[in-house]
Amino acid sequence: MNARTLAVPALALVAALATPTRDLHAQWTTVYEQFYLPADHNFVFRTNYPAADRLFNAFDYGHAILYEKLWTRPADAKQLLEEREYAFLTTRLLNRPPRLPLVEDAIEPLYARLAPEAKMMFEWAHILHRQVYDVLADERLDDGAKDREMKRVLTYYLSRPDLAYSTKPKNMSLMQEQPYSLAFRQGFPKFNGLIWAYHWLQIGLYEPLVVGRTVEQRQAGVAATVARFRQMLPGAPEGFPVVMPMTAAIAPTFTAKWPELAIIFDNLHSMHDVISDILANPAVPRGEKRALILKAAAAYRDDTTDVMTVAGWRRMTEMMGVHNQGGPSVGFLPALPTPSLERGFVMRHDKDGNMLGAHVHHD
Amino acid sequence: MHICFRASNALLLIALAAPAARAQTDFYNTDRGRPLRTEDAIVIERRSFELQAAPLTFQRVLRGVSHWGIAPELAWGFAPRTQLEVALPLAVEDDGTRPRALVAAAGLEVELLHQLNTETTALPALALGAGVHLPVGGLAPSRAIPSVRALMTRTHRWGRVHLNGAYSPGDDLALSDPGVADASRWQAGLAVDRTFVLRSLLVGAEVVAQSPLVADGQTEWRTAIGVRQQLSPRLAMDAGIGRRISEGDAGWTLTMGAAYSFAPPGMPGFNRGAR
Repeated sequence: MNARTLAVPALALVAALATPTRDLHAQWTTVYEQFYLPADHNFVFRTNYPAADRLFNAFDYGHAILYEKLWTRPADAKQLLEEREYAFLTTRLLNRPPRLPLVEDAIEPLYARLAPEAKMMFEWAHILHRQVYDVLADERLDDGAKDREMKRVLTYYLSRPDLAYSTKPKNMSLMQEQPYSLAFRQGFPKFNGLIWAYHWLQIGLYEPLVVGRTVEQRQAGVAATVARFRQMLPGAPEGFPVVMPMTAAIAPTFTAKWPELAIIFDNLHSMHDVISDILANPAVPRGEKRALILKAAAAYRDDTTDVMTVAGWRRMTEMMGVHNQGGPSVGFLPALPTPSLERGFVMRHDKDGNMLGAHVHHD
Repeated sequence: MHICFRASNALLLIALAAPAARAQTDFYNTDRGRPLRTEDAIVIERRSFELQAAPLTFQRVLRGVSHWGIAPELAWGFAPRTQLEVALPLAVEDDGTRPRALVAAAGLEVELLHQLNTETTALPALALGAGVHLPVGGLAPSRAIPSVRALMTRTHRWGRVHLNGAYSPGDDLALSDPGVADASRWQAGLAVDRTFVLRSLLVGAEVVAQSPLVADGQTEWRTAIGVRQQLSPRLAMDAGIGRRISEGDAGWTLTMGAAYSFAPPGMPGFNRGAR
């Protein structure tokens, strides 16, 4: 057999592996991965706070399996996510979280093909999340050095404008007032609550690391915040946040020190919900989901679309009520806070954080 | 050979001296020969380095004829979707005709691999490579052997499919050329792999056809299976076993190795630290 003989079946295989489509140009993407900033503090959080670090590995699975099921199994996604996957996550994976970070491409292979650009935005922001934990957990760094390292980590993150979220706060209208909005929170209340609880912990863990003045205080604070997260799990979705947790409410000291990071994480978590809505909303044709995801992703990267003032973002966060967002992550009472809003409540604000019109609860 | 040992040791020292970095899921990004010859069409992350410190391969060519090889390799993601690889293979050949096995460098391999795109719903990931195997050492080919490669990866719900093709232009090698065993005129490989996500484990299998770089060479078919596992955020290990399935002796091949990922902080693109 020679090369020419093999070429025919090889070309046939190539043709079989490529899916015919009319918009090949729109499918050609060159987004790429990049190493995270090498520094002495790499993996310090993993070493010093292994229980919390492992939970984040489990969270990665939860985020990824959500998108994969919404995209590939729209007909039975509700049953799969609200029952089977939810049970797996809360009774097995969160109890025995993976030791190593997971390959999200392997958990969400078909979603990753749908919108690799958005997937990499999440991954790049998750790298930032972890690098910030590493800086705050590094006991060799004093406050000044931590501040310098945070700026360095942020600068490196922003060096990828094709992946980085804006440092300008975005109005919640981007998340809650689009034609596809609210589909996920309404159709998947348990899983949506779990995702908000994930986000609560992901931003909430910054606070004990910042307010703790000694290593013992930081260790105890992180353990308490993780325990608080676990307290939310029984009886779901009752214990979960009823609106999206905002960093300025859950981690106010962290936010005061590094507001740009807090804004980035809010934009990240907001876009998580947007993609969930686009995937979950049956009114959005499958052929339009990629374009809508990319449009939303661009809106969360730019510094102009639906931007709020920083003061307005803080005001909006305060009006939403920390007790509705899962409660504070340090100095909390033994019982979970009692929400004053119904689950999924939608507030509307202008760019200065002033409330607009009557608040609407979408059932 | 002495030079090769020093070079490989230097690579190892660079890697061990560097602070930890990301690449926590390296096991998923397969490399040529680690453990399968067919690899995915995905390059390493921009600005990262990956060291294959001591990938070991044992091949039983025929009864009484064996071939050991260690091929330290360093890859650098120096540009978006682009990596440069340098390998320094060292071979131990025992064909039963000498009182002692022959130990020598088996050339210097350099390859540039560029990933054209990222996989989407309609398009697989595609990559192109160009490289050269230089005549450095006693078991190296007698001339430089250039090669070009094309790679494709398609992801499915159940796993991934990889298709690789390679071609080397130029004159045939003589049958007595020390590099003839590793050189091919063309090579085509098809591999599938499946990831066990929660175990950070990848299992793969392949079929490879290749035509030797000699006049009137017969196409050889080989098959192999292998695993890659992430052991720590920086370290992934692999192991594989293969054999010839075309006519002739089985030519069993065993291989195992480890990949270590890092990024020196002083490299361009990384702003300097606070301390």
